[in-house]
Amino acid sequence: MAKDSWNTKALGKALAMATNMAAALAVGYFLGAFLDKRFGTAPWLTLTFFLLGTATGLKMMYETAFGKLEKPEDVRKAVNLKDNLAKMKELREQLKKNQGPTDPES
Amino acid sequence: MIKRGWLARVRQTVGGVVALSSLQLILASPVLASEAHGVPAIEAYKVMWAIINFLFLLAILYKFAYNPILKMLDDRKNTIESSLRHAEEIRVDIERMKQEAQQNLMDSRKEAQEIVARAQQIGEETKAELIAKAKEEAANERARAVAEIESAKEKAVNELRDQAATLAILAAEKVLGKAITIEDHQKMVKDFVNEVGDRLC
Amino acid sequence: MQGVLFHIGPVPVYNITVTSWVIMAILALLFYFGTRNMKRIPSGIQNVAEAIVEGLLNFFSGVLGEKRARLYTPLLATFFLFILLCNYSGLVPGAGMVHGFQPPTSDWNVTGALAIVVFFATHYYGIKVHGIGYFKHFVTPFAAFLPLNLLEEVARPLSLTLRLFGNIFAEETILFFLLGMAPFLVPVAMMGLSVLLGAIQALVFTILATSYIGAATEEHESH
Repeated sequence: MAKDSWNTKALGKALAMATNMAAALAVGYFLGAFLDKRFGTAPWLTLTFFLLGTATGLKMMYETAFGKLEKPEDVRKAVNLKDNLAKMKELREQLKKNQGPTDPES
Repeated sequence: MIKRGWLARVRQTVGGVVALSSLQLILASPVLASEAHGVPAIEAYKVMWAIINFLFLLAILYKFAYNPILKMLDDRKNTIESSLRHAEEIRVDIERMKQEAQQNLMDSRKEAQEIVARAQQIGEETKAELIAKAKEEAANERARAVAEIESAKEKAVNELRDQAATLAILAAEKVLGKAITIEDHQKMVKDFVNEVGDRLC
Repeated sequence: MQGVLFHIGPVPVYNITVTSWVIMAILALLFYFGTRNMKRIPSGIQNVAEAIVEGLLNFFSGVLGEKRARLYTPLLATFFLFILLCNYSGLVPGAGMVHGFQPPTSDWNVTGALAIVVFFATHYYGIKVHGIGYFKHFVTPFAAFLPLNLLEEVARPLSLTLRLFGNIFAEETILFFLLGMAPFLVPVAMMGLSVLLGAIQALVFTILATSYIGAATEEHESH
């Protein structure tokens, strides 16, 4: 893949992360509130859906950064701190490689 | 050095992301403020219009932009591919022709060499033949000349002998005053001359 | 109602709708004249039209691969061109003040409509490519993720809507206030920023739509 499109994708991902999180929280909250009003179960559904929304936001953020969760092992890996640090390092290497030629210091 | 390099790069990247995000937040702040008063209503007609407009635009652009341009791009790609293929064919042809010409040239060179060699050989042969013939002729000529000389010499010697005999006879007649038969004399003188002549000549 | 210019029967026609029509007309005319009599060797406006489509095709090829980019370029390129022109329409003097002239992407119903198109297009293409197997991705990586995945499917269009609308609306609002406070210099700087952000937002919307459709239509090598 061209470096150009990698950078553009990175830009898209960076800008998407924040609003994705906000949107997931909002969806969770408003859906919960709507269902609470409908069934009169306040505040339980709001709370549940808000937590689900938060989880969704985190999942979206994780997937944006590290790629889709395809298999159950991926989830185990996703909550494994050591693996995550290794992944971050790998990503940093990738970033370094992709940014390499434009940096005057190297 | 290297460590500082990537640190700077990470800082740069993180800084860029943070700057973009905060810019976004700053820009969105009036919205967030206005939204605090309550969720704005969804206006169904606006959504409907927007979807209709978008689909209509998609249809128009399909007709005027994507179909003709993508077709043209494909067409151009095919043209380029086919002309490349054509060029390749021509190149192969030229290569083949060149090889053929090379082959022809080599063949004719070989042929010419053969012709020259043959001519040389013929020449050599003719030369040898001619020389042999000339030598033979010369030898023949010489032999004939020798033979002629021999015969002339013999003739001269014979003549000389005859004359010498006659003279001797005449002289003897004068001396003896008596003629002996000429045949006897001649025989006698001849014997003598033969004896002497062989020694002289 | 606010923003209504006139009615066709019972259906209200809004300022943003009229502006959309103008933008559509501009795009249609550009491509109509660009492709009216196409030549093998392009010249003039044909060059422009071809460069736009080819550039976008190449850009999507970088994300989707050549074959899928060829299929989905029309939809995605339309998103990009329409949103870009909508964003830039806010930079034309008089935007938001003249009747019938308001940048469509500064209204969240419009950005929502675009996000809805992305939503339906994603699932349509996903089902078209994978058939019934497409729904398997809702229980990926395992069944407990079903509510999260469903919420994500709703959150995505909302995220697209809010980002585009938020940025453009904010730009418009700030520009409006700045024009009211200081007619010179400051709005110019803001406009320069708007040119950049308008392009970035159009690009981000398009690239996200591309990656959603790309993820939905991805061929899995192992089943």
